[in-house]
Amino acid sequence: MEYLSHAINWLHACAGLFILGTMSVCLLSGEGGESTEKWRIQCPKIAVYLAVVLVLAGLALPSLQAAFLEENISAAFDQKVLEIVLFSTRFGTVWIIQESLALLIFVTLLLHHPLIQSIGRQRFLILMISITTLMLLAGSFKSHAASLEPMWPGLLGNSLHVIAAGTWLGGLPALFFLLRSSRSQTEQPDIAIIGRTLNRFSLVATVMVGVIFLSGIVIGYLQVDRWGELFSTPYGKFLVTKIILFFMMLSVAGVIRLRYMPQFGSKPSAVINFAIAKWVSFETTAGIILLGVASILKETTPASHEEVIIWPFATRFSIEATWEESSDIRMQVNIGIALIVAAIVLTTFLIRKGGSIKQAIAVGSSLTLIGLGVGLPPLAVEAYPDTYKNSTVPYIAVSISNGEDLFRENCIACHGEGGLGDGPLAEKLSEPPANLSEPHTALHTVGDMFWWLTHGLGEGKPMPSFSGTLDEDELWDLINYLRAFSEGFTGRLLQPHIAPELPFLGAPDFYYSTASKSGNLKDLRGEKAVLLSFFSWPEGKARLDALKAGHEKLTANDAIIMAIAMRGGDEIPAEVIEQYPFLIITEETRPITRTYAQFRRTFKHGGDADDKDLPMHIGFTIDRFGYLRSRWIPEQNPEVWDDISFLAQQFAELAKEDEILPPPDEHVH
Amino acid sequence: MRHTANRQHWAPVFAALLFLFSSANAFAHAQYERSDPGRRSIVTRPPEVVKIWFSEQLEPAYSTIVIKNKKGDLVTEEAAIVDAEDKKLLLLKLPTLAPGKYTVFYKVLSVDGHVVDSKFKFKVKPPKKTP
Repeated sequence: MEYLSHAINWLHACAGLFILGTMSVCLLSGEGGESTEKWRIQCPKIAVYLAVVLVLAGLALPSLQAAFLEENISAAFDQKVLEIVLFSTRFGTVWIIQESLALLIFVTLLLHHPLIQSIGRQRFLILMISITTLMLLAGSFKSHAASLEPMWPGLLGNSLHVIAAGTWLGGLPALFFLLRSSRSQTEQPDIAIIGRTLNRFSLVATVMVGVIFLSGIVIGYLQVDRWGELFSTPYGKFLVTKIILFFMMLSVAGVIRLRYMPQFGSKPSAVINFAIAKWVSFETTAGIILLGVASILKETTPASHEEVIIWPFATRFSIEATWEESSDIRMQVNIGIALIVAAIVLTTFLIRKGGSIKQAIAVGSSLTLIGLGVGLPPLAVEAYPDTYKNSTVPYIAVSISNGEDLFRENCIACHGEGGLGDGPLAEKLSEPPANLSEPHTALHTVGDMFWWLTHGLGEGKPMPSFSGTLDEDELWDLINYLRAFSEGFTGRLLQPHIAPELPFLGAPDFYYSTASKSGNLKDLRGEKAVLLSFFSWPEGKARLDALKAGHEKLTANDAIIMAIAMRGGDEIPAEVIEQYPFLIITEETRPITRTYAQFRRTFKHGGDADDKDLPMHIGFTIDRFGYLRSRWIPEQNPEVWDDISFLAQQFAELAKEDEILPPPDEHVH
Repeated sequence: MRHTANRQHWAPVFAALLFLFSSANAFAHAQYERSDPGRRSIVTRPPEVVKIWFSEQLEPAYSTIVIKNKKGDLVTEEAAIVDAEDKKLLLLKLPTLAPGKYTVFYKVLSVDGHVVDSKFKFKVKPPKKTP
């Protein structure tokens, strides 16, 4: 079933793109020539067969979707399921539009002879290009791009991507037959027309490759996070295959453009045409295989959502983890890049000069390999099968808090209470335990941490495996805590005043429930900035009263106040809570308090074992995009703690800021 | 104007390579974003409705929530609905839940035609005893 689905999708894609490309090349060829006229007459006839494939392959798609959704092959023929798929899902709506357009394409092509006589060939071709383009564009509305917000960048990127692919790749078979149509040097008008068509197609194809590249950037920016998944997931491996095929196509196109097209007119036409046709056939074959891979990709779980991710190499390349290590590393990498650029320039020069292609490729490849040999090793860091594994537990307060409990139960004997690597057993170990407080933990992937916790650090190393003690969720809880702990170290930079437009710390999400309201911090994302005020009761009553007095001023700039009881929450009478015009959270506050306590560290009080006690009060501002932006601790910032006007000013500054992208990560990476 | 925070600068370059010539149907899945009650949350006030927000718009015809108590019994036979205004929000009305642990199973189809199913737990605490 899976293979059948891939095959049907592949046929559908090929047929649609080849019809568009064929019509486009016909249009580019203009009029005139004896052999080329025969070719022009043949093109719509061949396109009729393509349209038959398009319609038939399209007819099978709803059944495949029904079988996929019901996880049962018999659903492919179940009328009720098919009705739901067709009339109650977006897939169905888009399919109806696409299949109707496919039928229109088929009928129009079938009637091409009278239509061409009636409206002229050029108008007929423009009509065909328009209908086929609409049919292909409709497909974007059931793609991932259509479900993004805002929809238009992804939709535009996707649409341009597929139209450019159709014009370039789809036009290659027609170009092949055109080149093969001229068999004799004496057919002078045909030579001119073929040359003109080739030049026009070359120009259009160059633009289309640019469009594919730029639209790829747009789509990729919206959807891609980590490149390592390219080699560690089925999706990634298929994608790499596609990229290789794409570059193979580009290389072939480069040979035609640089080697053969300059010879056009200087040698017997049939020789040149047939030589170019041979290379076009290579390009087309690579393109057809590429579309097959694309059809498989379409039905493969995306890498970013893949749960089984296995990195196959013992090392990985990381700019983040190595770039700042030394200037030697940066210099080696730059030399490597310079050598690769030189390889490209030299290869292009040799091909243009008309030298041996093999020689040019050999020189270019050798220089590229040397460049890679010089530039890549300094970027290599140790990697494990789980290096690119995705966390299955979100980075939220309840997970971080549970992770802290697990840390205290399992880790402090070596790493110490403050995570500084100074636990009671530290001195007895063969190697000193890591200082988890420093930012270097952020340079390792969470997959690395998962591997170490699951398998230990390796033979002869003191850190053991915890796979027998903790289950997978608990391991991720522990990793979430370690990340929060590490970010708390970065959080020392937080000040009472915000640094305009310089967010650097995500605010972990949390769930709250009170007598009157429940929800998540994230519910406010995009709408309100938040004053998160942690207080102790009854000591914090004065603070709550001050916030109440300044409530109007503080919330004037799209902000809300959330007061969270760190201590004594159970003792606050309900009628007292009701007196305040803002949310007071008193139940199940421990996970929230412990999570945000990670961000209490300052340069003065580093959060080591001597500073583990929570202050009585602490306040944070969180901008409306989910970033922690400032912090007040009364003992350390007495000059601004009682200054409500200063606090209101911070919200006024936040309100002036433009949208900050991307939002903080939902999961640790 | 938009600002970018801590985004890997090389990501667009890799992204371009990644998606060069990708098909029109590049897709992802509707991922759980947040819920009320939250994952692993403990609440005193039993929820009247379970709300789950996803990263993408949902297809109502193939989006379901099932809630079971600790014994594995269904707590309601009502069907989940996609919110009319927010197509990323799936809702299920609940009867008054007794204190105890509950598991929420969800299965959703996003508009790009792909299915995700998973689960999470929450707990209803007994109400506070008033003196």
